[in-house]
Amino acid sequence: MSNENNSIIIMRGVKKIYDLGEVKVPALKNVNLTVKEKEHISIMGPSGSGKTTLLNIIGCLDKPTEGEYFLDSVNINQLDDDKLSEIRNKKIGFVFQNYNLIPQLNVIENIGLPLIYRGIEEKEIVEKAKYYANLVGLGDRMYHRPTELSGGQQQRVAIARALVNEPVMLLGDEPTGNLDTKTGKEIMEIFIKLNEMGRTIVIITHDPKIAEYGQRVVRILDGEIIDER
Amino acid sequence: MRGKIYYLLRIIKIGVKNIFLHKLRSLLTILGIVFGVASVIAMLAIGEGASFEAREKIKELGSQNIIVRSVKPPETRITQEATTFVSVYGLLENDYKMIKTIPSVDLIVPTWEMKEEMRYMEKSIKGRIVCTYPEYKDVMNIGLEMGRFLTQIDIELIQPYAVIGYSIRKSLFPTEDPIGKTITIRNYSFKVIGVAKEKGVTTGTTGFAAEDVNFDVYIPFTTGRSYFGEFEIASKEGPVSKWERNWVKYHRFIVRVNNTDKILTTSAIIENILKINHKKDDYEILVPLQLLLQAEHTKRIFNIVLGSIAAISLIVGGIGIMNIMLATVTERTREIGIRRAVGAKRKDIISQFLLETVILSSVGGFIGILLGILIPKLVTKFAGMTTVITWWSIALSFTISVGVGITFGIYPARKAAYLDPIQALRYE
Repeated sequence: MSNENNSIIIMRGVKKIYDLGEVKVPALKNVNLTVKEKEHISIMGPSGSGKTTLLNIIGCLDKPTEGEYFLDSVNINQLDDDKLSEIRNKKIGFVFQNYNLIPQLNVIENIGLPLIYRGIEEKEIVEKAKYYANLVGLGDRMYHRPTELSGGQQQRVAIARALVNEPVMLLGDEPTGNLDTKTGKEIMEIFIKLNEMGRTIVIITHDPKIAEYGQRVVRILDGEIIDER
Repeated sequence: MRGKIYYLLRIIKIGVKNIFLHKLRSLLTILGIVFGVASVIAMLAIGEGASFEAREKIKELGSQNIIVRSVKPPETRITQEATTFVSVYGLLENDYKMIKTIPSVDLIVPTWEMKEEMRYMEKSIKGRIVCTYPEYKDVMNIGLEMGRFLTQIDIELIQPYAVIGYSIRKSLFPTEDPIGKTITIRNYSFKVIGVAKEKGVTTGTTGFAAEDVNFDVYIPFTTGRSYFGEFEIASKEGPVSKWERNWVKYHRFIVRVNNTDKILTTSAIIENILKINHKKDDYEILVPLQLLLQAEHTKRIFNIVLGSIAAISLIVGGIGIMNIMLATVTERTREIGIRRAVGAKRKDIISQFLLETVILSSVGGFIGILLGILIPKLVTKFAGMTTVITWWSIALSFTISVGVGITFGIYPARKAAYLDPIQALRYE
């Protein structure tokens, strides 16, 4: 157990079965996974392999049907919707393939979004949002709308938003999927830098080149982890 | 606590922003509420105005009074050539004596009246000469601007004194002090001893004929009788101008009852007396209190009918808002997913959408209030009806519009909150 003390993610025998009425579709069969603090891992698998389901569970958007999942020593299985929301708000920073920014809000407002659900004073939110906008190199775009930004810039906003609540882990879902190679590389370099600064990073991808950035690559196929190195 | 306030301000800001993002849509959405609220306020103002008018009229006629009036019966026997025919009708000495004996009758003040022109120097004006007694002042609530009213001594000495109405004074004595001046009525001279205070003119919407007592002149009953007799000579309208002559003993009795509860029974007794004394239908009994009750009853029906219309339009308005909010939820599915992913709880989503609906309906309510204040003003201006806008009708309709927002906002807000965040995030 001593090696689990500094683990961010501990999954034991996690199963996820989708009940579609007549048929039950097993998306995850038996997943055991441990991610240590300050680790950068890639979860790789083709589409339909169950990696999206795994991402949803890691990200606390969904709960496993069976098995145990501890995130930062918190047992996720026992939490209700409100508590899961709180976990997402405090411990996880999401970076999505399609950026998922709110078009009506400007860069600062998008970055500050997670903080408004904590009842933090407006001034403090803006201050923090500005700090992270500068960190991802968007200091001169702070009052632009997402539609006025390039894909790479939008993804930087998303990364800043994922960082603003100081989570225990950044969770990337094909973060470079919508970007060209060059921009994708830039985004991955940001992740590496953040990892060097001590962030735990989990990236899910089907692209081996992106997966290579990780210190460890976990391969998933048909709902099972087939390879780990 | 502070955090909660910042959070609330934040979602209000987002709500307002989203409403302004779709200006036309928001405007169309709230239209139902606007008209609903406007109609609530307007109908209450009109209903309130009608009862206000009735109350004013009662105040003028006296709620403890019963007014018995001579009415010229239909001229069945008077033919074109019968120009010298004198119609004899109206209240008689006997009526006066009998009504006076009713125990519940406190006071009975008779009048004899005629429409006549009066002159002062080169100015002249037509008014109503009311020959009466000192008690008339009390039963009809006449206030005095200056001078005094008629006294018992004036009656006994058959004094040629006159108390003039406010408008008569304005026309005949615009700058002078009228007290002590002499006015002329049918070549008889009268000394002005008092001026009555101005009284509100009531329009004829509550069952009363419109009349303006500011054009009245009060003279001692005895003086009137000795100067003008009991004949009333008036020019008659028609193809050929001719005179009509009426013999009327008394034009009106103002009967004051000693107890408001006995008004209806007293008026029934008076009715019976008159029925026995008169073969013709040449009298009329007005009970101000009864007319007030009628006016109140009419107002209640009016309120129920218009209230239902207003309620229906508010419900329709609410459904309109719900419809748009449901469309908004669908349109903003992705946004909801994003907010949920970064940590918004269900109740955060509910409060955001609910607040947005409430802001919409409140803005609608506010515009409706403005419109609801404007409509009664226009009604007053163009239809001549009295309207009274009460503060509680504004408070009520605003509360209702906020209530509609909450009621019809709950379903869309809950729908938004219970979306699966995973699906919402992938929604295109």
